[in-house]
Amino acid sequence: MSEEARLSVVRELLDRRGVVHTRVTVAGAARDIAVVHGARPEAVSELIERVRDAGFRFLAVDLEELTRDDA
Amino acid sequence: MDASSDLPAREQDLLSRLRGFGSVLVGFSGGVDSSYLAASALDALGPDRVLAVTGDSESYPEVQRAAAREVAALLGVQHLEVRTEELADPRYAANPSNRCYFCKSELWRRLADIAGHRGIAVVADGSNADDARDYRPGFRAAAEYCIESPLLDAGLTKNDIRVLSRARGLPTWDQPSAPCLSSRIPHGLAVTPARLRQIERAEEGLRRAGFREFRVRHHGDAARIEVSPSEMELAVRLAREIVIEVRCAGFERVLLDAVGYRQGSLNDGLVVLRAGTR
Repeated sequence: MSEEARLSVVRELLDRRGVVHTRVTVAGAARDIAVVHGARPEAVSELIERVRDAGFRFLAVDLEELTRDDA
Repeated sequence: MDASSDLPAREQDLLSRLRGFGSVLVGFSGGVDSSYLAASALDALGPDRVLAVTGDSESYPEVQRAAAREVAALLGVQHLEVRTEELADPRYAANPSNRCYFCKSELWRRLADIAGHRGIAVVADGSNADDARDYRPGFRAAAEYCIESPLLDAGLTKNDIRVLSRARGLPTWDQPSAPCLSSRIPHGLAVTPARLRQIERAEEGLRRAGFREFRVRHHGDAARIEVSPSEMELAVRLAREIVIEVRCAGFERVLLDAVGYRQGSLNDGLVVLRAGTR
């Protein structure tokens, strides 16, 4: 599965669960971290197994974006 | 039968094994297991027949080095620090899934030499009964250098060791596990002194911010922070402070793992990076 296809799966998961976020990107030297921007960790943590099924090893939120939310 | 009901018997078994050694060199990190082992060895053999030795390298964090010195002084055990050079071994630096084998080979070789020169009968490590269920390539190195694992052989688990350490009044009883800094780098991404310094600096920042159980995982330009689920809320609250600390350590992206801290997360699935990603 291409990276874009894997990202689409994650986006779909988030939409289906109604998780508010701004975007989803990939991070890491191995391109194995799905990063959800604009969401808090507890809003996405339960999706980890599905995210792994999509080919990512890790699921994370962007901390920098959380600091903007707080501002 | 309660799982802990035979704990006194297993502790006696440990003491008996240690007495049987005659003299022992303990591989000593200052963590929960090796501190308890050193304390037990002192009980079993007395201070003249126990030597605690700490292997020191770039992958050993300063905070742990200081803790080892402190615990050794508290126990009153003879203590040596030896420099190990695992990073100079390209097989270690390449960070394969059996990286620990090369590190432990270097450590046990040095410690076996010291034991030989000092006439110490046995070199022992702090492996426990839980470790036998985990992926531990270092066990092979221990077997090659005839290293004894008396805690494991006495059937003592990490939790048993915490209980027994607490009963002995050891300050390490509730100390979080503290594996080497290289364990924060995914297999396949090279271990370098610069990356280890980044990790150590970022983790020092989190420790100062009040986190107790966490890891900063090095993913190249990104740091993926794992905190324990109970500290997740704190991480969100202190997001700005964390971002500053971790960026100052040289990471461009600062990520918070959504699942949180778990031991050995980088061993999940053991995927090695494609060539060209180093």
